[in-house]
Amino acid sequence: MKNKKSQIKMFETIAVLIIFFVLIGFGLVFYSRIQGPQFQEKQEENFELKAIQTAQIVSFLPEIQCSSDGIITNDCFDILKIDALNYVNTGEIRDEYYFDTFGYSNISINQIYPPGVNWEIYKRPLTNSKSKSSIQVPISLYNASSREYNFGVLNVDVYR
Amino acid sequence: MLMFTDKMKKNKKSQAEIVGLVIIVLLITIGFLFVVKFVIMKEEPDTKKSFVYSELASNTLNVLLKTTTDCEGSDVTELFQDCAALHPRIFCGGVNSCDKVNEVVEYILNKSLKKWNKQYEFNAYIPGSDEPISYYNNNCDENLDKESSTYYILIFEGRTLHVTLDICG
Repeated sequence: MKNKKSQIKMFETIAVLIIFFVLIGFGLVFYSRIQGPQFQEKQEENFELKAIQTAQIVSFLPEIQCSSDGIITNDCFDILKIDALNYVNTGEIRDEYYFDTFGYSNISINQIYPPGVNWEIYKRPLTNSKSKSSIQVPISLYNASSREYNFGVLNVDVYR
Repeated sequence: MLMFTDKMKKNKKSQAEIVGLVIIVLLITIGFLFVVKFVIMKEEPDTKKSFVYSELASNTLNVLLKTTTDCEGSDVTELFQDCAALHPRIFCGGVNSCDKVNEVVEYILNKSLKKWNKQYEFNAYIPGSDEPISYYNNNCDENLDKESSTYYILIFEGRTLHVTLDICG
């Protein structure tokens, strides 16, 4: 009789333990469900920040930025400097040189007004990329020969 | 009989206690769900959107006003100044500065912001005057969030022209 009572008590303890672990399991599943999307969101945000960072780096690239007597003009690229950059560094050599700075991305400039020339600053897309973040930044394109400012757009596509 | 009534009373009391306990558990659960909804799952601010929109508004306006046009080598700011003046002097190919500046601004906005499907409102006006010098609205409602940029251009007669660009969304 005593044996049966202690057996029942043991079953009771086991049942309590099972319920306890099931509850912990539920808790873990619930926590991971909440944390999963948050982690993904954080990753997404970091990727967006990387795209913004790349756009900022290009905007202040001394190789092509407008300057007069050492004074830099913001949001302005010198057309002659862009041409020179494309002439000196072409294709793979250029893309290899800037890889540490820009990573897997495409950077180009389109002249909108007056309509005309497009320049490719850097091209290194990631094959089989999961996603792409694009940013367009309006910029002035300064022609030092005619002393005219044209309306252009800096296109930055960052891959991951 | 007395014992039976006593047992019944005790049973009812414990039932009421259980109901109270259930209500407390329900209240705690609802509270926890509220915490999950409003604290843990709250929407993060969209970093890219806020940065891009504020940069876009100021950059577009800054670059636009500096752009040189094919009208006597004047830039957009000079055309706005001339258009807002009491006696406009700039004419190019039979077109006055007001028509020219509107043509250039419309072209640039269409080829940039409109092409990228951005909602915007561009307004160039002299405070107190009835009609704006230049006004373009691409689905920018009053209710939408806006990132704004404003430039003030001094006109020859001592008045000020306000040029505003709002990026909405």
